[in-house]
Amino acid sequence: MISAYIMILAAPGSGNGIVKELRKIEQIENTAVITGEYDIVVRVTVDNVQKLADITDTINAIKGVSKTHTHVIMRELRV
Amino acid sequence: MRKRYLFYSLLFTAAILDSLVALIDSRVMGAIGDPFTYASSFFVVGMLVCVLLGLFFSTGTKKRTIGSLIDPSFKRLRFVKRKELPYHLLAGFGNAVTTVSFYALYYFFTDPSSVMPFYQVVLLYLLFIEAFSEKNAPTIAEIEASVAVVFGAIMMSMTSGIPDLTALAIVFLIMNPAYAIFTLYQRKLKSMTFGSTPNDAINIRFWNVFFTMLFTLAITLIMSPKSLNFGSIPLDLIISATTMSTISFILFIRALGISSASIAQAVKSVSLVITLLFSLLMGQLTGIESTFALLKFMGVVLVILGIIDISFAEVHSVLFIKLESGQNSLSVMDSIWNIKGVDSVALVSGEYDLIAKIRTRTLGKGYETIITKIEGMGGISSVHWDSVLKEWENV
Repeated sequence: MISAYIMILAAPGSGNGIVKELRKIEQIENTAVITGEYDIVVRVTVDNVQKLADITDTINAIKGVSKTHTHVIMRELRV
Repeated sequence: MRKRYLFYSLLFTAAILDSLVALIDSRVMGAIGDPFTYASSFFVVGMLVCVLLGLFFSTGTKKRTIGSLIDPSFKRLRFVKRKELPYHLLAGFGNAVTTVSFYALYYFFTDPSSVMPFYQVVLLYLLFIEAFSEKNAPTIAEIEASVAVVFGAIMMSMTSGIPDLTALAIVFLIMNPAYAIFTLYQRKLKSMTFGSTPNDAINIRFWNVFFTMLFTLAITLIMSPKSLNFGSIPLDLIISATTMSTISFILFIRALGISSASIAQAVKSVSLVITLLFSLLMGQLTGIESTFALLKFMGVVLVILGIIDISFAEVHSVLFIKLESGQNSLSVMDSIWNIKGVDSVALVSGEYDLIAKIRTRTLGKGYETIITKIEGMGGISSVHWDSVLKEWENV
């Protein structure tokens, strides 16, 4: 299993539409609209690197997504 | 669904079901003359209802069952796992003791309504335990709001004068600690993951009813074996109550996966307001003294204000952190994890080295308690703070 944070830069005015499409992707556990450099950050968990590549491709294909940046989680502590 | 809306929808629906169960409860208590018979029959019938509901929730396609609409983590009914067992035993024991003492108070004391309001103090027990044991300890604002809910709930439930001291001791020393154990271990179970799949609320409730039934039967066998005679129980009413109670608890357990036990319990206290509304509609409050009517009104206001306050009590943020080269990333990660308010910290590949998720009361408080501590640590070259505006989650 691999988990990753994918940061998304959205074109102006496309945030809500992107979130709607992201919510259809089953492997996305959490979606947060944030302030700052990126507009949306999602957390995904997939079986392998190939599936992670498929998810990033799917996200990049969403209308309004200008750029994505994937950070694979190597170690994590969480509540 | 938005995380916040999901949390409140789950708890408000659970509260409505709880209020209906409370109405049925009072009718069943009139029909059964023994608290042990009622408690035992409630869980024996409840177990059968759970099996049927569990099988119903397990139907559907391999990928999507009916139960997954209630909790996306649910696949099908399964056996309890070894690492869950101690928590299930404790939660089941807590539930059994709470239920038996709850009914015993009604049967053995002439005026249980004078002590029942203090049942709400369980919320303070939960806050107290979480403040010392949980990583995400309650904030001052959450404690303030929860205290308002507790006092509101007590005022709302009061119907008579001086409480009996023995009955009060049962509530404070047996019922409330048992209920706190029951709730906290259900949350522990909901926080568990198997591989990458979170534990699901339906299996947790199923096994909780199973273990509670065993403990309730054992308590009854020890204290009053002759009560294990279910010949005269009003089966239709008990089936209705256990079905609603099962669904209510499934929704509550799912909500426990989103927030702390005390906050979920505080929001669920809205069931008292709903029960009061039902009683008003059914004309049960017509003979009430004006003093108690005023107390109830003030209690309703306090509970509602407390719940509104809780709903605005949190700010979530994401921190993107870069480390200086040559740093031991694991030790920095551990230092960040030890800061109060940090919900998660991940060591990642890519532009940043660490990504941390933060929960604070206000942005200012977050700056004071978190940024100053991180800036004081060695080995960090930059911290980028982004606030979360909206959040959705599969929990």
